Amino acid sequence: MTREKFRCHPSIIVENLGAAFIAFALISINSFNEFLSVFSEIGSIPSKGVIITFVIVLTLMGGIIFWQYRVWYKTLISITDGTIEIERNTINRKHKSYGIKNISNVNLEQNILEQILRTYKIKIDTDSLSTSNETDIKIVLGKDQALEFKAEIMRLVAINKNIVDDEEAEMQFASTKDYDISYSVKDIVMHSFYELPLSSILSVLILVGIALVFFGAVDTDDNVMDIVVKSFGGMLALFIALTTSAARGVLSFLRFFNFRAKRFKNKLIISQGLLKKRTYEIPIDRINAIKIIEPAISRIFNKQSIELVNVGAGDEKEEGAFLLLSKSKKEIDSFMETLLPEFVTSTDENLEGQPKEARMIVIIHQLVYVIPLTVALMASILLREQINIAVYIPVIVYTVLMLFLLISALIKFKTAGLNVGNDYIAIASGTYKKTTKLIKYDKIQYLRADQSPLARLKKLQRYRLFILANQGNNINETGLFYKDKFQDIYERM
Amino acid sequence: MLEYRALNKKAINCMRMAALIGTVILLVIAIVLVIFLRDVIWLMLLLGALLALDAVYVIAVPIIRYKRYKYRITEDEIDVIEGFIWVKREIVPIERLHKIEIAQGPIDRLYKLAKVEVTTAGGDVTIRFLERDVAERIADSLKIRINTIARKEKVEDADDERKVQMPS
Repeated sequence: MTREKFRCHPSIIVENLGAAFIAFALISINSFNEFLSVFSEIGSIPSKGVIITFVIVLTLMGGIIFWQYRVWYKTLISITDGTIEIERNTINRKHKSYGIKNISNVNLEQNILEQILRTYKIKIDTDSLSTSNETDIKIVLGKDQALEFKAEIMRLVAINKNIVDDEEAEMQFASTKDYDISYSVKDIVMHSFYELPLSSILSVLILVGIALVFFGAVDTDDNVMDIVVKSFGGMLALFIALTTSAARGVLSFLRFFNFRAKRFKNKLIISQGLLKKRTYEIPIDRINAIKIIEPAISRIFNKQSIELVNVGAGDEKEEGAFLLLSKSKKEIDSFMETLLPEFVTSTDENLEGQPKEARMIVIIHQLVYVIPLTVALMASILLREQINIAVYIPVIVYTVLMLFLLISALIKFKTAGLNVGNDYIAIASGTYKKTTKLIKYDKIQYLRADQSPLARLKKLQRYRLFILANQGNNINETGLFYKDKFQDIYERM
Repeated sequence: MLEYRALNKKAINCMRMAALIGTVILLVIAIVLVIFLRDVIWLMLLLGALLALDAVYVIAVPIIRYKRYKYRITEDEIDVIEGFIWVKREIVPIERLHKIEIAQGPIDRLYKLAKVEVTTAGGDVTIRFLERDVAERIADSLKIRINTIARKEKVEDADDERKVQMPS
């Protein structure tokens, strides 16, 4: 690939203008009748307000389009042997240099517009904690130029790591048409079902309950209008329940459509998406941990999925970090032997549960939720003008919530687990959704132990392992375990 | 094994001064509430309780935190123990360090104290309430150790490369 400076594909101007165009379209639609009357009354003087609005909107749009064009024209990209350089010479001048050695991921993405225009968005991430929650570099190029650019970056990454020489590096990135693991449409639909969070299911059930209450209030002796009015609330609740569930299912399907994964020498290649196609290449040595995910429904049906913890995959909200979608534990173990034998996922039997002294401490910590609930209950009774049968409703609700908190605390206690293995540490946590993290010791940056006064009495501690990852994955907390684990973990780091 | 070191006694007054800033803010709010809402009895009782707790926080907590605060820096690690109600222990292998910084807030400067902040790829760890010259000595010795580790790794990488390139 040429080492001269180049620009992104001009379609990036349209992508960046996207939000501005939508706003303009909304204003135009609202004002359409007025604009139409201006142009249809030839010879008559249109109202000043209409003309001024029209001129302001056009000027703003023109200004935004000009600015985006200028940013595109003045932004130049180049590659050297050791860095990627991005220069932006607008009012705010910036010159950023990214070390090739620090690159952790180079991924390709295509949204619908890019698929139509045959361009690719290249997303590059580096091993940086400060930018772990966002993509470091985004470049849009035509298809051939994008593939050439990516190949050149990957070649330089390999050379900078001193792992392979030029020729072998080029051969490394051969065709990836044959994937080791692929998922059918049925698998993806089932994964969307297994992945449903408990809160979502409860919300749907509550909405259906509300709908039934509304429909139950309808009297067959009422006239048609009364029936429609009374059942409107029920129909609305059902509509919300169905559309939110359907929307979640459809989004999940679109995200994971044609999900495939492959192990190619020292990296993983993952491809997914229908409207927005994504291909990730993740070097094995940049995988900081893996997560075995078991949401509530998955636990009932004995299914698991695997997510990677890596700076680059999954750091933007709509991106995924999945390596394997929901399958049985046996199938997951088998797939992992092909894709990532460095991690063994059959860890359940090796996980040590929390000591029984921790049970009471976990329950007491849940009491923090009891105080506001008790205050709310007492307020609802004391503020009543008269005590009647309706006072039992908040008492019943309170009792149900207390039971729920107690059961949740016990499930949380049972779910927590720890295994200080020889190659990596396994940490299980969660209440209804169980997550087991496998972290290699050399990826742990530092270790912290926390003791509350109660835990100190029982010589227990909670451990936090800090790794390089995006927010939500960089701090890995265990349950309560004895103090001797601290030295065990540290000696292996 | 190296013993843990305690902080200089000036740390107690430094912690107390930081706590007093919170007290001043609380007092201003209390005065405003007393002027305008003195008839609301439960509010006055709550305010009284908060002020009493704050007095305990300012007087007693710095002493407990000082007694509990310990740190140790060996050839391989930085180990810090601190806390009041919740006690935490942080241990950082020296080879994981990316950056070392000496910082002094306005209250630190008043008592000629400083803190050493070490940064890893997973976050920061801070050794607080150190005398300025102690902080500088710690920072310098950490920098020397990091450079030694970096040189050692460079030699090992060069050896590995020579082994790869040598004909069989």
